[in-house]
Amino acid sequence: MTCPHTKGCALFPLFSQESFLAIWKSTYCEADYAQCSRYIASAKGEVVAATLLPNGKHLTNRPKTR
Amino acid sequence: MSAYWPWWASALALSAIAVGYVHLLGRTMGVSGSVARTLRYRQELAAERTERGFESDAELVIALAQATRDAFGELAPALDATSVPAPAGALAPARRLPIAGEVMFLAMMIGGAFVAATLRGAFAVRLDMGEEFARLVGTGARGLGALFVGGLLVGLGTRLAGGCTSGHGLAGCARLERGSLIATACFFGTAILVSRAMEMSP
Repeated sequence: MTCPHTKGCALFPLFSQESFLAIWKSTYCEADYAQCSRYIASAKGEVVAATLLPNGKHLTNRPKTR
Repeated sequence: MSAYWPWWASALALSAIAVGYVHLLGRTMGVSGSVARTLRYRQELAAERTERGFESDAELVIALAQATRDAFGELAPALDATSVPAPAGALAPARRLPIAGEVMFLAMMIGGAFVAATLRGAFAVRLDMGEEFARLVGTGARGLGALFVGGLLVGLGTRLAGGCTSGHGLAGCARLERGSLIATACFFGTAILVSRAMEMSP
């Protein structure tokens, strides 16, 4: 079942548009969305920053290099 | 002189506001949503601080690519982060208006009403809701109590329905969104029925 909060999610459009991000969509948005930190925060009526990832971590603005 | 604008002037103004809001800001208007965001401005400011490092969608996508590798390891599709294509504003519709913009919107709404009333010479400070309200509901504590309970119910209904007369009635109906059409029919229909019933009551 697809997450009911995709319409207002800042990241869902990217998860849908960029193939290399689709794993987030298949793992959370279209499967275990109840475990998604973005969904949990949104369901509580909290502000969901665009940097919050479904796994609860925040994006940093200094990408690491490998 | 009527206390209201001519219907066509109101229609033109509301259409301009609904279309202009979407055109200028890339998102649909919703007063109750603006009020809700303003009331939790501390959370909003904190979220804005965390997002401040990403000036463009492309930067966010590059960081997402890195985070995807961190989260899923070998399961994540291999990619060269430096060649990630810019999504050309893919995030724009979902990005929130800065909280300062929401506050400005609400302030301008009140200011606009003040200017319109002043220009028509109709502005007056009053502490009652008018003769009709007094006749139907009452005055004093009874009238204030009714207003308070009514406000609570409107707030509850607005949150449950995910919008109010501006979000559903103006923006949603203009976009022919099914939920907005149903919500608007419900709250306008209820308002008409209740006002009719009150008018008929002795």
